[in-house]
Amino acid sequence: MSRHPDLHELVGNDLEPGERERLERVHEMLIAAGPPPELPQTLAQPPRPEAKLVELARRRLRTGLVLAAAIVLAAFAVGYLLGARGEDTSSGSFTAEKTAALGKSPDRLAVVRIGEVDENGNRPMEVSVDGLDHLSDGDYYTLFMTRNGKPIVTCGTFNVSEDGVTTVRLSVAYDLERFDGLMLAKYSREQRENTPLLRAKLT
Amino acid sequence: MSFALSLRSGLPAAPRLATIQVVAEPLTNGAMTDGELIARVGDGDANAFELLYRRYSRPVFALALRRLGDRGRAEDAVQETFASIWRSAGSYRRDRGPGAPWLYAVARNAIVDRRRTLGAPPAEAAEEASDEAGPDERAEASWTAWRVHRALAELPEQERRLIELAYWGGLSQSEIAEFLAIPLGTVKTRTRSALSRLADALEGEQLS
Repeated sequence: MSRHPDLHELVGNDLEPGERERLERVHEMLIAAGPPPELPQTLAQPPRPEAKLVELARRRLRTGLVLAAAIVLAAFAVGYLLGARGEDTSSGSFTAEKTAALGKSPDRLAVVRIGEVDENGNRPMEVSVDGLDHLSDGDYYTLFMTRNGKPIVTCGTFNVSEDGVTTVRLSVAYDLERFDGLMLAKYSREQRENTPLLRAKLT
Repeated sequence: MSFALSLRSGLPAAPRLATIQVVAEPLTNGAMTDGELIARVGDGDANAFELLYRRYSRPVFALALRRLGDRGRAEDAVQETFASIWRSAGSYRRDRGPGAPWLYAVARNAIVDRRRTLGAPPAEAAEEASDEAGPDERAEASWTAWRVHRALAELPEQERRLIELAYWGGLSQSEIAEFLAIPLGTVKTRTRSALSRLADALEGEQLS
């Protein structure tokens, strides 16, 4: 344990009595408090803003501006923020091992629930989206698993309804440990390319 | 921004990823009180939430570590605390008291809930200064540490580092000067400034 510093050494002796008294109080409090622990890397950043903004969506819902499906999205996202795992938090029939909320706008969200691996090595995945455009002309959405921000493998493709609210079931057979994120992209058949729309870290 | 993906040709070497920006009023005012920040969080201000996190993540982590005695559980407790802050900030009333005690109460409750959920022993993790202290003394020590750590988080980096080296690094002023390669006079000036700022913060917190 380190020694306690001497206040006189720290600040000298030319202080006004009132100021010295003030600093002495701080000095004693610092000694009593002890050092704050270093934050682990996992806490370097605040919780994902998506989850916070989903709460905004919840507020809008209360004012009648958001569709009922947003309730489900908000519930999922809050579960994600809380790190809820191993709980069946939706109306789906599988237990979510991981839940991730993609997106930073309450107007455009995707929530991905990934289930436990079954005896065949498959994991069910449920994707609920709100606020995405219905695509036509052969365009579609693709969900990717990413590592260091780069798309590595696809989880599947889908389109959404005219009102932008859709839930689809996918299945993946990947080792989740190989990936650290999810990304939803829009594929344009005409341009033959994907445009990233929404992302989330997978923890 | 886009990237091409072809299952036949493989992945692009360097896909360009879209940057999704949160549109919100920038918040950089370090003088905003905790109460003001909580009120803004209650209105759904994500920037205020982030500022609050910068101020309080270490105090919350320290408190959780002290109470739970396990870094992994403490990390979870920090997440739960800030989730709780986000959810309940709307219930905060500035006219009923400053922000720091409210945040402390939220953190304490989240940590207690966490401990209860885990079925962990109710006792606070042992620490040197509280081995023989009763609940009141431990609570007082926790509250003191909370306030000090929160005030430390507001110090300029160069001053905070000096305080940490002086109080918990075991270095004398001369050693700090040598370690940081700055004049001894600068060390003394900055240390005094840091202590004065801490005093200001700790005296002013009841008004925030």
